[in-house]
Formats: sequence, C-alpha cells, structure tokens
Amino acid sequence: MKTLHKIVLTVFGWSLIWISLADAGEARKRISSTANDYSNLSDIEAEIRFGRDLSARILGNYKLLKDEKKNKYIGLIGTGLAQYAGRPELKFYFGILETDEINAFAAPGGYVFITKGALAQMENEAQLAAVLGHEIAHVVKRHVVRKLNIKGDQGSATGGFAGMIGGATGSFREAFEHSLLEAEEILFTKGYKIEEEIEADQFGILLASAAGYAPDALRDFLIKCKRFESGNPKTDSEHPPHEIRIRKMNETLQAEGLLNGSNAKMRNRFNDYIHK
Amino acid sequence: MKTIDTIPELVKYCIIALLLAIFFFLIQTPLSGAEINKVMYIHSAKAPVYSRPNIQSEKIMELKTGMEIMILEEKGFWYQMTYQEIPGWIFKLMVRDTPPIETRKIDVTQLAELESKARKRPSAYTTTASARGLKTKRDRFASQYKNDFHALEKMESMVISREEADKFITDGMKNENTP
Repeated sequence: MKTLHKIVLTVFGWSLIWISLADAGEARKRISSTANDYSNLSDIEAEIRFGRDLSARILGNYKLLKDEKKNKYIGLIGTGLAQYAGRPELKFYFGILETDEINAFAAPGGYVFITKGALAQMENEAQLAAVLGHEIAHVVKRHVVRKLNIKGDQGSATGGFAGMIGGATGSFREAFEHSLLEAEEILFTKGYKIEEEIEADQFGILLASAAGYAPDALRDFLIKCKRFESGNPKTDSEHPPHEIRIRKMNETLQAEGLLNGSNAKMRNRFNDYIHK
Repeated sequence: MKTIDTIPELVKYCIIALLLAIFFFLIQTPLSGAEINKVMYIHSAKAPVYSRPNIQSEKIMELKTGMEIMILEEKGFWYQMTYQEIPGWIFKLMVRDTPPIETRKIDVTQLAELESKARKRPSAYTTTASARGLKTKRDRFASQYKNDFHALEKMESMVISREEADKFITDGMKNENTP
C-alpha cells in the first residue's frame, strides 16, 4: 500500500511542478509578448506622431517633388499594395523626394518616400511596386519603432508624447529629439540591420506578388543599383551589401516557387507617368 | 496490494517512469501546440487565400480585415487555415493573433501645438545635447536640420481611396495582358 502511495504521490507531485512551470512559462510569454507588441492605442498614436515629425524632417532635408501627377501615381501603387499589409490601423502616405540620390525611406506610422533618382533608374511599375513594398515592410514590421522603443506609455524614451502636448518638461523633449536623431541615423547613415533588410525584401516581394506584379522585380532593380554602389557613396546608403540581399532574394523566389511567376511589369504605364 | 509489494524494485521504477512519461505527454500536448487549431485574425484589407502554399496556385477566396480564421499549420511564409470550414493557405504577414483595431486618427489640434514646439526645439536642444555629449551626432545633421510640415500636410492631403488604387492596378494588369 505504501508503495502505491509513493507512486501516486510522485506522479501527482511531478505533475503539479510541471503544470506550474508550464503556466509560469506561458504567462511570461504572454507578458513579454504584450510588452513588445507596440500595438495598444497609445503606442500606435506615438508611432504616428513620431513618424510625422520624422517625415517633416525628411521633407526639410529634401524637397517634396512638385509634380502632382507623379506623386499621385506612386500614391496609387503604394495604397494598392498597402492593402495586403497587416497594419489596418495606419493610413499610408507616399511622396517623391526631389533629389538625384537613389534611395527610398519609410518613417514609422506609414510615411513612405522614394527619390526622383531612384525612379529615374527604374524600368517598370513592378520595380516601383517592389521598392514601395520593401518600404511598407519596414513600417509594418516596426523596425524603427522597435529599435528606438517608441511607445505611448511613460516608460519609453518617446513616452512623453502625451506630456509634450500638455506642456511637459524639457527632459521628455530631449528624449524625443534624441530618438528623432537616432531614427535619422538609421535612415540616412547607419541603415537597418541586415536581417531587417532581408525581411523587408521578402515582404516586398510577397506584397508585390500578391498584387499581381512580377515577383523578381525587386531583385532586378537591386542588380541594376549595384552598378552605383561603389561610385557614389550616398547611393542606397540605407542598405547592406547588395550581394547578400540578391542571394537571399533568389533563395526566396526559389523557395516560394516564384521564379516562373507573373510577368506583369507595366513598362509602358510606368514610362508614361515617370519618364515622360 | 500484496501483488504490488511482490513486484521487483526495478519493475516498480519502470512503471513509475512509464506513468510519468504518459502523464507528461498528455499534459504537454495542449500547452505546446500553439499554432495548431489556433484562432487568428485577418489584419490586411485584402487577404487572398490559395489552394497551396504557393502564390501561383489557385486563389480560392479573398478575406477582409477582422475575419477570424483557424490556423492548422505553419510553413515558411504561410499558414494553412480554414475559414467557415473552407481550407486554404494564407500569407503570415496578413494575420495576427489579436483582433485588428481601426485606423487611428490623430487630433490635428494637438498636432498643431506639437509642431509649434517642434519648430522651437532645435536651439534648445543644441544646448542640452552638448551637455549630454550628443553634440557630435547633432552636428552631423545640424546643417540640414529643419522641418517642413507644410510639405508634409501637402503629402497627407493627397487622398487616395482603396477602391481607386485597386481599380488603377487592376486596369493596368488588364491592359498588360491585352495583346
């Protein structure tokens, strides 16, 4: 009888320990997932406000191209693509920057910019869609938001948004300014982490493909841009070495069976809007 | 109970180990199988569902923001799912495990105040940044440091509906396919 008790007690004891550990693990996972989610209302408002301020700076450094037809064109393509991205709480805006640099930027909150120089190097609408998709991905995946911990509560550097509006102390403003400078560094000099660029590439390819564009357009554009990599240090400074990205894109195209995908490139319409 | 006492020690330990293994197996399955039979929500405005985890495969249906789906399996960029008992494959990037929230509208009157402060900030910031050792970074952008909220508002004023964007892309695709 004693042995049976021992068996029952042992099984019962171990089971309790196991369940407690599993529950604690699940709870930790839930808490950590909420903490890193950046998806409550105040976080989203902080993201939009931060992105808006950063965008105003981008537009202060470069000029918005004064060409309504071209801006509308990229807005149409971008809005069409953004429908496939999972951030329904954001409205995406698109603008062309008046510079010959070959680049594209995305600020948190849904602000996407492409340079006149980048458009000049593009051959078709599929390439435009893929580049916009890549930038939309940086927003959807919250790459800047996560790096700078932009949250709506008071616990983060930019958590003073509510306080700022209410006339809060200078320390919040300083923290906010510092975060803006950090964001500018990511966009203009340091760049994103290579994993983030690769993630944005994959996402861009999938978004453009879901909308019906040729899946290999981003790779083709990057191969073309590679020519400018050494000659112009400002060119595409946001991005890591092209070779790694091109190799990873080829892997994605292969793995997803996209190499023989749609061939919709829309060269004529792109030329009508951009190159004429 | 006499029978138990007569069982050799080794066999008893084996029985304990076996019972423990069976029990752990039974309680572990529902806790760790997070992706199996899990309800998730569509977050994109348009979410095409394919017959296989391949964009070239047949498009079965298109789901909309907020719809609930049951996730069955995960494979690369894809989830295998069912919606109203119709099975298919969907891109992970269109799905999240919490319901979506509506598009946020920021109070522009608050923004106006924020922007007026933003315009005053640079000179004040230069001083504090120097004191905090941030001047080098600050200086890197100092020559270019200015905001253009007017251009931003112009960019934001370009209203494009999803329907208009959809039609534009669809019409383009049709023309592309017309010989």
